[in-house]
Order: sequence, then C-alpha cells, then structure tokens
Amino acid sequence: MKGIIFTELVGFLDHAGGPDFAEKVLEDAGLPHGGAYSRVARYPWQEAVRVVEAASRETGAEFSDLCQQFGAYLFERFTVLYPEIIGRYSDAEALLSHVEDHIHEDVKILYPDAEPPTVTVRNEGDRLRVEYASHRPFAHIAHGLVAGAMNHFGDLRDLEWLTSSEGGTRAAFAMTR
Amino acid sequence: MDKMEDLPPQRRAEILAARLERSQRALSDAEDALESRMKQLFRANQDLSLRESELARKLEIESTLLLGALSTIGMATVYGERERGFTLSEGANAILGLPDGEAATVERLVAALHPLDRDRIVREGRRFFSEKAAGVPHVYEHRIIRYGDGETRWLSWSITREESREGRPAYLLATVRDITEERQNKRRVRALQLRAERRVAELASLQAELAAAKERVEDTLSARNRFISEMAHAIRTPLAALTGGLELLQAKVRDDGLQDLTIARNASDQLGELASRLIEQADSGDEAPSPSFPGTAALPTPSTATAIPDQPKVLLAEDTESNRYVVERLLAELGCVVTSVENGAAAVEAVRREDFDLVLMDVMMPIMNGEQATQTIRGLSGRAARTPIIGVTAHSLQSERERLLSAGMTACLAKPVRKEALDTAIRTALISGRDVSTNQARFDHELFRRTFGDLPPAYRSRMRDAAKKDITRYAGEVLEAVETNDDEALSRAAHSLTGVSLNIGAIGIVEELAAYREAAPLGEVSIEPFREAVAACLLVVDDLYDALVSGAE
Repeated sequence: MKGIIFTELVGFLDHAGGPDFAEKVLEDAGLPHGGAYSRVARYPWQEAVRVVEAASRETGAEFSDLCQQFGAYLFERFTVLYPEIIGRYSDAEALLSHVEDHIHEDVKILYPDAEPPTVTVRNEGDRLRVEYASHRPFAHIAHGLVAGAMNHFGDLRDLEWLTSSEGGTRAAFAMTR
Repeated sequence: MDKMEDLPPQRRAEILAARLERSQRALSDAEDALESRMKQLFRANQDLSLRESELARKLEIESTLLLGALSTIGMATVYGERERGFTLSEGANAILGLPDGEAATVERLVAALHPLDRDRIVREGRRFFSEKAAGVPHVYEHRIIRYGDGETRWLSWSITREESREGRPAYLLATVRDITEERQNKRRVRALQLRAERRVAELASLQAELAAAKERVEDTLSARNRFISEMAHAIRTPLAALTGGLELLQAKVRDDGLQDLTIARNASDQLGELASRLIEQADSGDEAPSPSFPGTAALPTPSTATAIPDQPKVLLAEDTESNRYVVERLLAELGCVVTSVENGAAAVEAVRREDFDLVLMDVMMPIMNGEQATQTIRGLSGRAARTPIIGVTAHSLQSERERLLSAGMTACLAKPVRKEALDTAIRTALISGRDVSTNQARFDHELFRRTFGDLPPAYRSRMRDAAKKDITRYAGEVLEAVETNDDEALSRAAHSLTGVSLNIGAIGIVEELAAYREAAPLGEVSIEPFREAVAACLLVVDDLYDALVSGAE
C-alpha cells in the first residue's frame, strides 16, 4: 500500500490523540521500522491494521469506528494534498462516480504499481449505491472516505451500510434522502 | 488530549527526537524509492528511444515503397502551346520506354503510336485546338509500341484546352497514364464476373429442378401415405365391428366353440395391430397437422358427484352403424343405459339437453368431429361441461392422444374397443373424471399373483371382474360418505373397500384411504389423492392380470 496512506495514518493519530498518544500507539504496534513511513515508498497493508489495532487497544474504541474516523480524516487531507483533483467536482456524487475512471486512473499513472480498490457507483431510484471491493479489508475506511466526501461537499443525505463481507474486503453503501 | 506544547519539556524532547529519527529513516526510504523510480524511468526512456528509432526506420521503408509505387504507376504531364510546341515531363520517358538521357518528344510519341490507332489519334490531334471545347477535359485511349522492348501498351489521356486570354496564347494541359495493367485487370475482373454470373444462373436452375423433383417426391409420398392411411382406417371400421361381434358372441359360445372364438379374436387382434402399424407408418411420413379448433379446452374439473351409478347413463357418439351396434351392445352388457347419436354436433345437443354420466365419443365423425364436439361441451355451462368424455380413435399415436386430452377428453380408447378396456375406462372416468397415469397405481404384485393363482383358472377372470366392480362400488360409497359427512357410512364403506383392495394387493387404495381418514379429523384434507389412487388401480388391473396371471398360465 502507498506510503502516503501510512504517513496520513500517523498524522491521524497525532490529530486525534495528540503526539504522546501517537508515539504510544506506534510503539505498541511493534512495527518493523518503528513507524518511519515515507510518502513515496510502499509498505504492507497489514502494518496499517496493526497500527489501528494498537490505537483501538489504547483507547478502547472499536477497530471499525477508528477506521471510519480515519477515512473521513483522510478525505479532508486529500482536499489539502490534491486540491486540483477534488476541485474538478461540484458534488460528492460526481466525485464518487468518477473515482474509477478519473481518480484511480490518475493514481495508476503516478504510481504504476499501485493497486487501488474498485469503487462502482450507480443510481437506484432515489438512492445512490456505492460498492467497494479490494483485496485489503478496509471497507470501514471506504465508508469514512465517502462520509468525508459528503461532508466536504455539504451533502446532507444519510449514508447507510447495505452489505458487507465478513473480512471487510467488500461492502455496499447507499446515499439516501 | 495533550498538544505538543502542553507536554513536559522532557517528554516533548523525547517525542521530537523519536520523530526526527523516524523522519531520517523515512527520508532514506524515500531516497531509495526515488532512486528505484529513476532507474525505472531511465529504462523506460531507453525503451522509448529504441521504439522511436524502429518506428522511424519503418516509416522510411514505407516512404521508399510509396515513392517506388508512384514511379511505377507510369504517369506524365504534357504542356503545349500551338505555336511554341510541347513539353513532356520526365515520366513520359518511362511510359515510352526510352533509355535514360533521351528526351521524350511529341514526335517520338507520334512515332510510337500503334498502327491501328495512329490515324485516329493524329486526326484528333490536328483538329483538337479548332474543334474541341475549351475548359473541359477530353479523354482518349490508345495503344503505343513501346521503345526498347517493343511491347504494346495502352495509354489514357485527359487533355484540357484553354483559350488565348489577355495576351497569353492558347495552350493545353494533359496528363497521360499507362493503363495497360489496369485494363488487363478490368478484363480479368469482368471475365470472373461473367463466369460467376453463369455459375449463379446454373445453380439457380439446378435449385429449381431440385425443388420441382422434391415436390414431385413429396406429392407421391403424400399420396401413398394418404392411400395407406385411408385403407387402414377403412379396414378398421369393419374390423371394429368384427371384434365387437366376437366380444358379444363370447357370452353365447360354449365348450369347444370358446377355443375357436379365441383363435378368431387373436386373428382379429393381429389385424387390428397391423392396421395400427400401417396408420402409424403413414402418419409419420405426413406432417400436415390435422384440423382442429384453435387453442385447447380447459381440462374438466372432476365432478363433485361421488356415488358411482349402478347403471351409468352413457351417450354414444359414433357415425358407423355397425360399430354403433357393437358398442351399444358392449355398453349394455356392462350395465350401462345407452343413448346413441351419429355425429359430434348431435352429441353436443344431447349433452346440452340431458344429463349423462359419461360420453363415449368417436373422434372421426362427419359434421362435427369428436375433438371439436369435446371442446364445445367443455365450453358449456354447468354440470354438462364436466361430463367425462372418453374418446375412441382409430389412431394409437401418443401425439394424437395428447391432442385429444388437451382438447378436454377425459381418456382415450383405441379401436377396436375391447370389453375389458371399455369397462376399465368407464370406471376410471367415473371415479376420477380426468386422465389418470398408471404410474400412480401401487400394487403388491406377489399378493395379486397369489390371489388369482390360488383360484381354478376358470374362475380367475370372473374374480378380476368382480374385484373391479366391488372396488368401483365401495370407492363410490366412500366418496359419497365423504360428501355427506356421514362418518358411519364412511367407516362401513372403508372397511369393505380395504378388504376388497387387499384381496388383490391394491395397496395404493388402502394407503390413500388410511391417509385420508387419519388426516380428516385434523382439518381440511383433500379426497383427490384417494380418488386418483382408485382410478389408477382400476386402470392397471387388466394389464397386471395379463402380465402376472393369464400370461403365466
């Protein structure tokens, strides 16, 4: 997984619990390199799981809740890091509809070895169905990202979980009125 | 949550030191990653350069080929003023076949003209400026004898003349092309086209002959099949009367006569079988659908009437007098009260007018056939629409049987009608009111065989007939008791029916009866499975008897 996700995860720990909390979590996670992440390198996604698990132990919060919070935080960071990409879209629906053909295409050009998840979006009457599929178990992070996007664009619809695979590699959400 | 500035200085220093150390390692990681990306980019650049040079080489080759192709097209231009003469472009040398260094001139061109075209072209040339319209292209084709190899080549000219204007003299501009290969190709294409057209015409003619021959064969085959079918049907009508007559005689013949009668019945059966095979053979070669009413009639809902009448009122629809007589007699012997009509329309009228327990309907009849009559009866209102109808057909094809059943018939009998088969069909139809599959019949074969085997041979068929009658009667009483909610009568009839059924091993009846009686006190339960079990058992008794008892004698 791309290093930027890890550097942002460390930033999230700092943002959510302060520097002391972040250091404790990194230490407790028992990472092979002590959490020295670079944005341009790649690291196994399992390390991110270990970091969130350590944060969960430290705070007593649910693993899935922390993932969702991180997803929302990550989207807000994307608006700072990649304003030219986020700025192309006028609302959350337009952005989500083009994750696959614009954003992930750009990611693949910048990082040919990246393996972004598959995100498909389709209108189902009065709701928008968003499906996430990846070999990584980050459905809750995806949920947080979608929630973050809705928050960023001031979308007041509800975001419902429709389905989720047991391991968290697949999920479907719905934006409903 | 403590912010960095809220932490004690010592802790702050520790955290900052840890972060600095991590940043240094991350930087090192980033440097490694960047170096790796640089290497990848370098390799990609090399690859790109290689592809570029390959592409340039390919383009160069294509370009050379294109230029070569242009030069071999054999094209030249000519510019001329009447007073000042003509100038021919370089391509004219190649067209005329002149060696390099020798200039092509109009004189050389005229000298090369083919003798057969020379006069025409020279004549056209002389009057070109005076007679040909200016400003429009004029086209000429002619032959030359090429210098060097002496080969005859075809040239095509497009010449435009411009008038003298504003001090500029009149001039002509011409393009000339060597069209020898083009003409040859056109001729070849035309020859191929003509050959293909001839082949298509031949094929069309062959197809027409084939279609005509096929039609003749089909007509012949159809006529043959019609003849066979008509003859077989014609044989069946007297045969049915003969078989019925033999059936009727059986009750009257005694002793040695019985054996003679059996021989006659066997011969009649064999003839019937032969006629069936002939009809099947003829029909399988003739796929024209037989006429019928559009659509299918709804299958009759079983009558809710439950008692089986001792003397069923039967309507017989049969157009052939001899058959009518025989079947009437057979029905009378089976205890039926018979009313006869001669066609389907009369049958419909009779059913509309009067209640019948059953209709025996010939299929092939004038005015209105049995299939149409059945569909009409099923369309009537009230009880009449539910009257069981047994079709009697000369065909024994499964497809026809299915068609008749879907038209609304309850069951089908094949001609010639045998007494046992008629008896079974009537009982089954009265009990079930619908077509019954023999698969639904469950028998204890050993018990069946032993019951009949223990009897002297002379009594066995009588025992079979008695069992059928008893099952019909007691089953009717069971159904009536169910209808009237008479528990005592049901108990009595069930007891009798169970005894009779067990005698001949008809366990299907016993099981369904027991299942009904067990479930009935608990609530709504259907009597239909019992009704079907009785009908199915009655339907297979004769076959079972032939297979297990008379066949084993």
